[in-house]
Amino acid sequence: MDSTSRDATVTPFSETTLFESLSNKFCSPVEVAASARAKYLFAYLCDLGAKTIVVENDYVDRDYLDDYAAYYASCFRRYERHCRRVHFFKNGLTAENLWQAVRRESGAPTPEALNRDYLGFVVARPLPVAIVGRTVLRTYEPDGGRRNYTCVRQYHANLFGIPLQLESLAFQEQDTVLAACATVALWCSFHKAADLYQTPAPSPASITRVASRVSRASRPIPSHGLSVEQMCAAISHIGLEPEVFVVTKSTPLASLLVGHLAAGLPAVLCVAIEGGGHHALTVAGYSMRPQQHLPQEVAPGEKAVPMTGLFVDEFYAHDDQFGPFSRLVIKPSEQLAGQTFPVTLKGSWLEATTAKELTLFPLVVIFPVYHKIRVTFLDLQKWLERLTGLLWSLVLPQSTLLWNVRLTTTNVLKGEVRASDLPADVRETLLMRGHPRFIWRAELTLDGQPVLEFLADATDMDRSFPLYACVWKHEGFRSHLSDALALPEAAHLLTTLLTTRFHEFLTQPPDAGSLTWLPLAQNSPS
Amino acid sequence: MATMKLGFGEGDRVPAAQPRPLSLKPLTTAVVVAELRLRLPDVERTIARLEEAQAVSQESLKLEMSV
Repeated sequence: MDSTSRDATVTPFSETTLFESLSNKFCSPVEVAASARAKYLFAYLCDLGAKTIVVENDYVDRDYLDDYAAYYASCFRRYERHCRRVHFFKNGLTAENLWQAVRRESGAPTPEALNRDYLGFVVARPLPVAIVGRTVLRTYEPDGGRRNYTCVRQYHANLFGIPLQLESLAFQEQDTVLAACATVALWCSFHKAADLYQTPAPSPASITRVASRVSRASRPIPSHGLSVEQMCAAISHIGLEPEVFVVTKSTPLASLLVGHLAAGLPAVLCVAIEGGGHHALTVAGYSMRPQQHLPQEVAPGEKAVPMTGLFVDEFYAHDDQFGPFSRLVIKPSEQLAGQTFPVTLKGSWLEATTAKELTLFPLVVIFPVYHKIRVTFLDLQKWLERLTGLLWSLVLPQSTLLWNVRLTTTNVLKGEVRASDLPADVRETLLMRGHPRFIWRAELTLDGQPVLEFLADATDMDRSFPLYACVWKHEGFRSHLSDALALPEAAHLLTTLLTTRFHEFLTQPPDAGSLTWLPLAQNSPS
Repeated sequence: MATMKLGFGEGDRVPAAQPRPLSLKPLTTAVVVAELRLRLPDVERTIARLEEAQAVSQESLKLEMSV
């Protein structure tokens, strides 16, 4: 077999071969070259070290087939039903090597070797525009742990019988017929939700159709966009709950996002584009630096407890106008039309004539969550605000307090506790006792030293006292706080600040080594 | 500005075997009471702002994402 056959083509990776691979009879390579998505993919694949392109010339893609049946099949123009699938490899795979591997000849690259070099695939849709269909590409390297792609899952591809797999999150560009940005952002987030909760991952056509049942100011298809309300309806339809946060000047956006991303929950982020309209993207990862990135993550004059979001300098989002894992750099607070935003974002969006970077203003964040996750990040933050108010009175002015807040599950918590060096009695108690299925963890460090960690029941209700355990990680800190809580002259102020329930919880003697445990059966709404 | 170790937030970090002394103020009732009086309004205001932020307005629900 040659490098080109009826079924497949193998070529060295280059701008020309990539654009040729993505083209079709309605969209020439020159037109592909003008697409922002194609340019982004070329730059991204160069960074990943792509050396070889393998094109499956006849590929049936489930999502495109649904879209085809819903719209393109009934057009007068004869659109193709089948796509191409374009695979990328690093380290220069030759056609001969690939055919040897397909034929299982001696000396052929093993499936393991092919998997090591595999960078993923792009489904090239046979359309005049919106050629980038389902795209699953490897992420960048972690760069020493800075980059965290927490919302990826495993994908499998079968290339002529060779099983290939990689960790990623599927992406595609909007076709503005069956899917605008909001539909695509939901589609990407549903791919991860399917992995977490075994919920369906419907096609773009199906998402738009379901979302448009709620209200429609105009015809749903061709789709020109979805409202937040319609996006919520699409989330409910797959059996999840839409947890919606309207971004105000006091919303600690970075910490809010990281608190969910750390549990693998992607966020649908709705933004206003400077000088443009409203756009939706899927946030799937973040970069955390060892140095604080911004002095605060809320607007000037607003207050929030110091949280790890302060160390996040960028997010990685699937932006259907560009590509997968596109960078969103966190910038300080700004105003737009009289509204103050806690932070702003800059990334791939440029002003058309001047190439000036455009600012994105965060409006709304939507997390598709399992119905049992009821206590929100902001519910927990309110309790942390209370305690931190007291702690600022106890620590020296130059001290650094920092909360690391993240959602987790009982199984992940127990796995981490088991692997930790917590004192044996605390570890055993945490492992042996029952925990809620979903838990908020809030670890406090003082001058870089962990001093305590709260566990909060995320399945409870927002008006309850959700904290049920506290692991004291520094005896000196516990003792100092305990002495402060016992000051008789401050008793009224302390209960006003903390509430009686929280005050009682903090003063309860640890019942197992350095663990304070409030039996869940004793938890009742305050 | 604060500094911290890489990897924070990626799993359970373990407490130091030998905890360092912390930068805590000596406990003085008058100082604690005065500081709590000073900080209480700020905390209450921040909590009120968070509660406001949790109320999703009809206006927000109608925002259309269409770029």
